[in-house]
Parts: sequence; structure tokens; C-alpha cells
Amino acid sequence: MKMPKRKSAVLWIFTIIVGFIIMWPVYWIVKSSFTKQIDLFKSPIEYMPVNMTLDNYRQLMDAAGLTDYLKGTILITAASLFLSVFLCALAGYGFARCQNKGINIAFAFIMFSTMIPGTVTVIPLMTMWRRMGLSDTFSGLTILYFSLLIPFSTVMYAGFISQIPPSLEEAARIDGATMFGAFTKVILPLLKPIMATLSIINFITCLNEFFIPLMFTTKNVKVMSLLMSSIPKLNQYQMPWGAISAAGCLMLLPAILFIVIFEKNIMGGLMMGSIKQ
Amino acid sequence: MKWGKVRKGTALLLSGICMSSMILSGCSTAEEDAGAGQETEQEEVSADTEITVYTPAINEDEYGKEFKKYVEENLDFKVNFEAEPLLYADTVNKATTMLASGDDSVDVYFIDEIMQLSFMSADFLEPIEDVVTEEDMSEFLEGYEDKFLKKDGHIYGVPADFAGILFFVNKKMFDDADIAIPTDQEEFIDAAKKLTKDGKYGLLEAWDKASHLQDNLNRWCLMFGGNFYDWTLDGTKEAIKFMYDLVHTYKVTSIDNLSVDYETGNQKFVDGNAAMYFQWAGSVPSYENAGKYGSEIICAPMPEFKTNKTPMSSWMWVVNKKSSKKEAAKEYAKLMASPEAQALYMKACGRLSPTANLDVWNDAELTDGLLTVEEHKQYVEDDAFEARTLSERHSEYMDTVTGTLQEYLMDEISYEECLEKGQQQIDELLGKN
Amino acid sequence: MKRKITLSRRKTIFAWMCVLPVLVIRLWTTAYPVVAMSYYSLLDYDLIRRKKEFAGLQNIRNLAKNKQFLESLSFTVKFTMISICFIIVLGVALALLMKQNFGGRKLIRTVALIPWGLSMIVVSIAALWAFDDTYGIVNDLIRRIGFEGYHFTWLADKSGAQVAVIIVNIWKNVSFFAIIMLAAFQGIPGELFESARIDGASNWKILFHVSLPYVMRTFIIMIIFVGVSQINSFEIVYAMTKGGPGTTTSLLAYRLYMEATKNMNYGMASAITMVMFLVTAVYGIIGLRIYRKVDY
Repeated sequence: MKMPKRKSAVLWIFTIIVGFIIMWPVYWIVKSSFTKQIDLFKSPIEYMPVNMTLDNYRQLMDAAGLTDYLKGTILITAASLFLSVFLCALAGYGFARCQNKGINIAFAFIMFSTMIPGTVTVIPLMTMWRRMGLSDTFSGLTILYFSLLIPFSTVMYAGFISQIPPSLEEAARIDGATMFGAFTKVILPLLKPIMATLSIINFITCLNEFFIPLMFTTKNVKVMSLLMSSIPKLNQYQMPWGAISAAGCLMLLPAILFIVIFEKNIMGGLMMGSIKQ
Repeated sequence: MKWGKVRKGTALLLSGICMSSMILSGCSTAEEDAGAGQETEQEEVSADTEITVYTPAINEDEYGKEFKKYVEENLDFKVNFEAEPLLYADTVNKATTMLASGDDSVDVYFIDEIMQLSFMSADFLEPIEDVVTEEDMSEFLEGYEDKFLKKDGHIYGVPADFAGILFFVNKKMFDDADIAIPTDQEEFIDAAKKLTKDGKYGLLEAWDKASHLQDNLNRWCLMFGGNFYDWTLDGTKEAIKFMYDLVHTYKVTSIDNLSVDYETGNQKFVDGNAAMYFQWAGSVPSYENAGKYGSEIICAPMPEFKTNKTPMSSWMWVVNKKSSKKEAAKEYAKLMASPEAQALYMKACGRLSPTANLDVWNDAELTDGLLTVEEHKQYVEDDAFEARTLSERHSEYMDTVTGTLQEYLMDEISYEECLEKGQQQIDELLGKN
Repeated sequence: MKRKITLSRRKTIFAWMCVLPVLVIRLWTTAYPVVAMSYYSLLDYDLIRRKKEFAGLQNIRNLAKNKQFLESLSFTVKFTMISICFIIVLGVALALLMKQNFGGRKLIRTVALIPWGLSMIVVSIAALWAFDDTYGIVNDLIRRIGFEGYHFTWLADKSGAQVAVIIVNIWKNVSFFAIIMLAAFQGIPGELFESARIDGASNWKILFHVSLPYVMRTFIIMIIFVGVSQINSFEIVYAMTKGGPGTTTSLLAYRLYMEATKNMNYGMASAITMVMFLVTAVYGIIGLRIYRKVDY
């Protein structure tokens, strides 16, 4: 399908405007990460990079135990991402396909449990976590990360699955598939678009999650979002903004990579259309 | 689905949650009550003992290595240093939450005076006077101990650094205008007025709401002989009025100061946007890095208004009451009181102000690499430093009382309203104890 | 939907088995803390005073009298409403742009998610500098596009600070809303558009009569979730303004943080948490009710 030139031009104009609003501060952040500390703040602002330096990145690379930080992030993110893709889709299926009192209450509980700010509840949770020996462990962190992803993912999957006609699985069931089999063979493949979207969202959420690791890690587990703590301050009052922005850019890279890889899976309209009755 | 049905069921579910939680929490609730005074089981100190020390990130350079080596050589157990979060707010959040939940994973914390006062009150800290004696304390500046380290006859911490708010001036601007550096109130106003021109200001103040405005209020109050916890004193009233006048009457500083924190303020001062600036000594590395300290920016003696007093402060090492390795933790704290450790630590974490242990100040070898030692000596000689008068509720003070002051400085409430509301808020927060 | 009775029971059991793992994890991590917090809200529980005794509804009563709390409540409502409105409108627009099949699609999809992917600390420190009059990119841009003498210190001005905080919040969160709406829009069957076009509907008509009704459920869920996260967010305020100048930008969540970590008054903090929960719960119930009614 070829698009009329005029429409394409209008779209490009919008893209450029949106891109500018988004990228202009981001550009300043990225530029900062390549700038020497003394050149960071100038008035009027230097937009062109001068005296580029890799010092900020070098400082991060030299930071104690970078590999520990990487290892922690990869392990915890991968585990909670895997759990969330499968278990939340399964739960979404349960919520979408069965409507009775109990299930509806469970659904409401999952939604409403996100509505409680964590500032106070973290204290009893911490006490409980320590008593169970889960504080500062990979499994403890993974459970908390996964729990964090549950409400949104589950509700999204449920909404999505409720738009898939049940006749599809019923057909599979008539062909002799079990209920679980009908889910894995018929429903899961249809979830690709929402799965791609949620994976991107959840990946970024895990990567940037700050509060949970801040509270629940001390020495055994390290994650990238806390890497900035290991950058020594220049002095008591000055943030190492160069190194901080470098850390931010470094964390952005995997996120962008993830988006680029999964972006094409978001497109699923045609396939969905053919099954909607 | 009918919503009414859900409501009935929600009650059922809630009661179910309550039941399960009670089982969970039933195990022991006493532990959760921080400060309930339960003794934790203590480990004997041996070579296998490892303690965890929570500190601002230590540099990976020579200084950092030297400090770690010193600790390793002088203690017969292992010390792990874990980095505090980058932002002060996160550090407070983490330390408070961990201590309140009875956590024992960190044995030694590095905290400021505000945390120290509330942690002492909340009984989070272990007294250390059996290891760190009064004699050790005598090496530190007098008057400080009673305000921040002692409570009910116990000693709770070892101070690490020593920094005062110093009077910094941009010498170049003074020389260009051919004005002498002011020594009293009259000269101060005069110089500030003369130097306010061409978009530059005579005075820069950090009036951001966090800690910066209250620091400045504290200092002006001291200079006028008042006390920022008592807004009925004439000195305090005068100081508040003076701050207002600086903006609105003398017009020697900008109301934009309300968004200036120490970081942006330091940048502005380095860039020569103002001629005078009262600032913590800890900022000097920023001037030094910009190549301005000594040549363009210098430290001058405090001008004498009613007094020449200025606040000083330090951070300190404290031991977690719930720690299972208190003996080792106390030994670490004692080591940190020694002149060598004090000097090494300052350099290791890039906080290049003088040490709390005054014995270091005259030891050229130890002070090598530290900044502003001579300046501090001069201020001590002038008897300019005064330990801050804080309260356990100082965080609330910084939120409410300084908010009121900001409103007055913005001309939104009158002088009388400001004094009344501020004092009322102070009474309220002090009344809570 | 009618099902065979014998099958229906098995289906219910299967549904519970599907839901169970997620439900257990969620209960495990929230039930006890929430119950404990609700209990604290009835206590005079202050660590600085070393007090922990039953006080009934005293905390709530104190809150109702507390002027600052009420100010925070009103700014929180304002902050949430304005943010939500902009996030919805801009989010849908951005989603529609990302949905278009044109050369820049991949580019816009990647770029759009960047603000959301940036870590909060970085954004908040950057925002603090960005709104500075001397070193900030915001005023710099305004000066460059023709208002040469423009000087305004956003964060030192009451409404300026509020506007700045809301702008940063919207900038950071629009893309999250947009990407989910994109996924929902992608699920719309192509035939629907075609038949609408054959009927001669305009683009606007298609948006309001075909696209939005079709994704209404996702749309409502997103409004609930984003709304809740707005009510509970405070990092931006903490880093940029500390609730100032005065108390103009003290969000409820910020007040909660101050009460809990700084004042260690867990009774009062729990009471604030309860109030916040009630506010969000009302919002959520309304949303959920509409969600149940919508059936496309």
C-alpha cells in the first residue's frame, strides 16, 4: 500500500516535532556524558560538543565490581521477565475466560494492590523478608521484581485475551487438546503483539527500578540502577553529573536495543483482524 | 458482573488476608519494634569476622587504596565498605527504613547531625563509650560532643570531618572595583551595593528549600545574635528582616536565590556571577577544580555584624544497635577517631575539608592534600565557629518553617505574619517531643 | 456466555489454577505489609518519641485539621488531573503517529520510548538544571527562538515551579501511555476501518467511532494505572523543588515520605497512606465500573 506523498510529509513533520521535543533534553544529557566536568555548565549553552572526553565512561568502567552489577541486573531482569511473560499471560487467560465472584475479586485485588504507596509498607515487608532469609538475595529480589510487574501485565493480558473469541480454543478442544494445551497452542501465539509491548515495558521497568534494590540490597546483590551510588562525589555538594549522565546513557542502550529488536512484533493488527468475528 | 457481589466478596477476601498475615506476623512482633531494647546475639570477634560499613563511595584512586590498607592493617577483622546512594534523600530513606525495621546487615553507618539526633532519640544506635573514651573525645572540638554525640551520659558517635560556613569573596571583582573586603555590617551592605551592577550581584545566597535556606537563616541569626529556633528574639527578627532587605531594599541579591542550591550556587559563584558568598568549606574542591581558588576566589574572615559567628558541622560514624558484631564495629569506630584514619578518610572520599580531630590540623604530613585547613585555623582563632542548634525534628523544620520564610521572601506574606506563623510552626514541632 | 454445566466446573477450576501463581506472589508481597500498615494508622506510633500506643482515629482527625496536608491534597489532585489529561491526549496522538506505516515508523517508535527508559535520577537532576535561568536549556531555547531578554526562574516562582514539575512529569510519562495504546490500536481489525471508509467517515469520525471504542477497555485500564502512578509519584518533586517554594509543590506522596523517613512518625505516615489509598481506590472503582460496562 503506497502512501500519498502529502500524508507522508505531514507525518514526517510531526515526527520531527515530537522527536525534537523528546531528543533535545536527551541530547543535552548525552552531550553531558561526553563532557569534562569543568565544561558542563555554560551560559549560553554550548550545543556543539567541544573537547569530547570518555573520562566519564572510563570512571564507570573502573567502578568497583561493574561485573557484579551487570550480573545482578541480567539475572533478576531475565528471571522476572520470563516469569511475567508466562505466568501473567496465564493469569490473564484465567481472568478473561472465567467470570465468577471469586475470580472477579481476585482481579480487583490485583488491581487495587498497586494503589498503596510503598513508603510505609516497606518496613513490615523488610522485616518479613529478613525473617524468611530473602533479604539481599537474588531469589528475594526476583520475587519482588516479579510482583511489581504482575498487576499491570496481568490486567493487560486479560484485556487483550478477552477480545479473542473463545470459539478458537473451543475448536482446539474439540480436536482433543487439553485446556492448558489450548492456551499454549492457540492463545499464546496470538498474544505476540501485546507480549512484545509488555516485554519492552517490563524490561525497562526492571532495568530502572530503584526503590526495591535501594531497600532490599546491601552487599550480596548489586543491580545497575544502583551503579550511580558507586561513583564518588566530587565533594560533598557537587554531583558528578558527567558520570551520572554517562550511567543514564549506558542504561538507555540496552533499553533501545530491546525496543529495536521487539518493535516489529508490536505490529499484529492484520493477524488479529482475521480472527475477530 | 454485579458490583454489589464483589463488595461482599471483598470483605471475605480481606478477612482472609488478615488471617494469613496474622499467622505470618505472629512469629515475632517484638523484633519489629525498633528500640524495644532486645539484645541481639553477639558474635565473638575473630579473623573471620566481617563488618559492613555504609559510607559515601570511596575513590578508587591512591587515597582510597591507602585508606583501605590502613584499615586492614590496624584491625584484625575484615571491613566491607558499601556505598551509600548518590542522593542524600535516598541515604536517609534507606538508613531510616533499615534501622526502623531492625536490620542488622549494616554494622556502621556514616550519618549527618540531623540523622544523628533522630536516630539517637529513636534508640537506633549503640553506645560506644566502653571503647571510645572521653579521652579520645578530648581531641575533638569542644562543645560539639554535648550537642550531637552524647545523650543520657552515653557516647553515640565519632565525628569524621569538620567544616564551617566560610565567607568567600571574588577577589577579582573587589579589586576591579577597588573596594576593600568588608569587615562589618555597614561595609558589607556598602560593598554589596557597589558590586551589584552589569547583571552581577554583590551577594549570592543558596535559598533552596532543602537544607540550604535553613543553613543561611541559621548563619544570619548567629551573626545578629539570634537563634533560628526562637523567632521571638530580636536577633532572629533582625536577621529575617535583613534577608528580606537584601532582596527588596538593598537589592544586592536576587530572589532567584530561592531555587539556588549549593550545587548551582557554586557554579554561579565560580562563573563570577556574584562577589560574595557564604558557603560550607566542603565546596572549595569545586572552586579548586575550576582553577579559581586562591587566585580569584578567596576565603575572608567572617565580617562582624553583632557577632562574627558562623555554623560548623560534621558527619559521624555510628554503630547499629541491632548489629551482631558490635565489638568489631566499636573497634572500627575507635580507629576512625585516630588522626591518621581521619586524614586518610577525608582524602579517600573526596571530602577535602579538615578533620574533626584537631590533632591533625598541625601535622603537615597528614593535612597534605586537605583543603581550607589554614582558613579553619584562622576562624577558630577568631572564635567564629558555633555548633548548630538543631532538634530531632529538624527535617520538619526544613520543610515547614523554611517554607514560611520563603513565602515572606517572595513577599507573599507580611513580616508580622511570617514571624507569627514561623514561631507557631517551631512550637508545634518542638511540642511533639 | 452459556457453557455446558459439566464443563463449566472444570473450567472454573482451571481458571483458578491459571490465576493462582500470580495471586499467591502478589498476596505474599502485599498482604502482611498492608495489614500492618493499616494497623499502624490507628496507632500513635512515633519512633523519635519512642511511642507506640493505640490512638484510634486520632491520626486521621489530625490530618483533617492539618492545613499543609490539605494543601498537599489539593495540589496532588491538580497535578494528577492536569498530567492525566495531557498524557491521554498526547499519548493517543503519539500512538496514532507511531501506528502509521511510513518511513519514520521505526525511528519514532524508538525515540518515543526514550524518556520513559531514562532513569529517574538522571531525569530529575537534568530537570533541576534544565529549568535554571542561567544554565538551563529551557530558557536558553526560549531566548534562542527570539525572546532574547527572557529571564524567568521557574523553580523560584510558585506557579512556575508547579508548571515545571508537571511538564517534566508529562514528558517522562507520555510514551508509556502511547506505547500501550499503540499495541491496542494495532489489535483493531483492518476490516473495521475499511467498512467505515466505504461509509465515507472522516478520519476524526473513525478515531472517535471506531478506533477509540474498540480499544476502550485498554484505554480505561491505562487511565487507571497511569492515574494511580501519578498520585503516588514524588521523585520529580523531591529532586526538583523539595516541595517548594513554600509548600506549593508538596505532593501527598512527598509529604508521606517526609512523615515516614524524616519524622519517623509511622502512625501519621500510615494514616496518609490510607487516605491516599482511599483516594486512589475511589478513582479505581469508578474506572473499574466503567471497564466492566464496556463490552465491545
